[in-house]
Amino acid sequence: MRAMDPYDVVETGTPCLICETNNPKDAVMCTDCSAPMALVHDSIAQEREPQIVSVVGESNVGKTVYLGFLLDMLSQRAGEFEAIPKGAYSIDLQQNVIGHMTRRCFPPKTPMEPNQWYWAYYQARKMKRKAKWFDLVMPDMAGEAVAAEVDNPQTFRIVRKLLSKSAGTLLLVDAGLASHGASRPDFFALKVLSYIDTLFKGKRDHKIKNPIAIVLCKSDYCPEAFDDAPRFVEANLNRLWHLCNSRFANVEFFACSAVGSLAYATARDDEPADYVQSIPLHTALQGVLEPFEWIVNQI
Amino acid sequence: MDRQPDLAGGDAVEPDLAVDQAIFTSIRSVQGEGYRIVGASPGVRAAERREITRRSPSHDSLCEQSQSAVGLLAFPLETGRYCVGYSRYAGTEHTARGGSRVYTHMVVLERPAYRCLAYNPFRLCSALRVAAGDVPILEPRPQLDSLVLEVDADDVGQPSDGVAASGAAEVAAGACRVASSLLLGNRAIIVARDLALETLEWALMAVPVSVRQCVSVTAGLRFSPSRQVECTVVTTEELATRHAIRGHGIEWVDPQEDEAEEDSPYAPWLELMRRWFVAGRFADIHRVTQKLAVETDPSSLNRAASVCEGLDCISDEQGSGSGLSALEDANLGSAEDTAIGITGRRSSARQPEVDTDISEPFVSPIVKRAN
Repeated sequence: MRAMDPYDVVETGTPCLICETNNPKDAVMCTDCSAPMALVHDSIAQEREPQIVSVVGESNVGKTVYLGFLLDMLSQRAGEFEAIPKGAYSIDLQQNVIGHMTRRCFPPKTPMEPNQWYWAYYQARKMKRKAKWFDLVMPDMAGEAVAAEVDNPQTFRIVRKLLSKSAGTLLLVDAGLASHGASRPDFFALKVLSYIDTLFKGKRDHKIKNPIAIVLCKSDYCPEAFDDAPRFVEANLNRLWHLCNSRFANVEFFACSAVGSLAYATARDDEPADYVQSIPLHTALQGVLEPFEWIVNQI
Repeated sequence: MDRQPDLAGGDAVEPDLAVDQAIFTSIRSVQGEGYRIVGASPGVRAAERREITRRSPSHDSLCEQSQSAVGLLAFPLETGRYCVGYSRYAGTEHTARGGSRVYTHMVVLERPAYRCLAYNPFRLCSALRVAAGDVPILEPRPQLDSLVLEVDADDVGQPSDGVAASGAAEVAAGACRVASSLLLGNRAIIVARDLALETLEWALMAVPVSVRQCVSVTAGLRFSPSRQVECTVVTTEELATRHAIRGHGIEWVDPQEDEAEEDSPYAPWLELMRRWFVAGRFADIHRVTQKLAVETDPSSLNRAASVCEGLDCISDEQGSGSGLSALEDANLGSAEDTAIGITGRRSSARQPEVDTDISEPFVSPIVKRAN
């Protein structure tokens, strides 16, 4: 992905940062993939090639909460990162997450429609070493869109484009479900990595070098994941473990948790539906920054 | 898809239509959780599943928040078949993360079957609700049976839901704005407030069937570019959406705020439709739009409108009700001859017999003979 030349914008319209479709100069949203055109304009202003870091995972695994808290931590200079949001739209996600969690409720589902996704464009650097600035684009994709694309490629081309252009990927896996014996998180992670494998068309004897951080979300259900995340994956997500060893050269495993304690509410008596609502009583962030830090070091 | 004129006379309405079905919603099951196709009949092809998944409404897609909110989605599939979806809420979503579960029941059908319904998605949804019931299927088998829809031939030309007489003028005005966009082939978002579905239905009835068979439309659903529809009828004005569509070539229309489209090239046709809608003459609308075997350019439709206005004047003078009906009853010509008289053109198999000079107001030779 090359840095935008302002001359291109004036003469030929504006190519989208994600799908490279040419758009009218006054377009707010890409006419093809619905990515915000502000990403392009901000990247031109920075005169720097932005790096896309994709956060993918199954529906309800916690991508929105994870990314919202991560961005909020970066805004507060956690981990000696200095991070500056580019554009007010970059703050919408963290505001949405913090606002809901403050009121002890999880944020609403991310719709499948790409025009409803949150996008964050941040300029960041490590303060301690006075490192160079780098630009990060991090979209909050809907888990259902990722699942649909993985199951039937070309269903959501924006997902394909994002993954193929990502400098690094955070694959979130539901450790709580996996620790209780459910195989669904393992199979989903297996599908996603297989999809990434075909995207990069790696040869049989060459491993894919793109950095992938496997983030074990909801590890408050299984604290042993914090002690030894790779061992947890080997024990509870065995298929994922073997595929990582076989096809990916640059994989690291992390455990994380955002919620300190949970309560549960059931449907009201007058409601016909039968559901259980999880209520986050307080947040206790663990392991949120480490996967991001590792990815940044690999880029 | 080309706007080829449909056959004059249309197809006989089959009493039972065999169609495929699919359910798109969010449930937790062994196969997974979240919005996806949770059940479909075997006839739904893989390419159709992909397209339906991409274009279907997911969380928070209905315009209204009330539990009685509904939406409709209709579009031609890339495989050549048609898909019509009826969306509503189905209780709280299993994760209970804000908002209700959006439940969309899709019907996939072949072109001949859809033609029997005059390409009216609302008629199709009415038949779907009768066949499938109003209770959402939240524990479907992955493989559903095909559906058999019962169609009443007498209802095909009628709107599916009644509109109170007091609201007819408002619905008609909005419908004509939508119809104008459809005829011009423009992409538009129309704010119809409480009458989104009625507005879209009347608008579809107001355009010739050759236009109706090609368009993709939604009503009651929030706008999303991924749905790839030409006409979106919403109930509320969302400034964020209005801002987001800049540069997309999509027109924003609010009939309550904008002035009437007197400069539309289809103004005479739209005025005729508006007048007939307010008068409740749905049978005449159906007859004219269904049996018109002509191109849909402004001169053809406006000439047809001019003739219909003339027929109405005659019938008003004679006190004989609908001019079209009177002509047919008097056996002065078949429906096709009536259409030929209106338009001055025959279908491609036959040569024109009437004067097609459009420099003066056109009067049907049938009318001349009657006089």
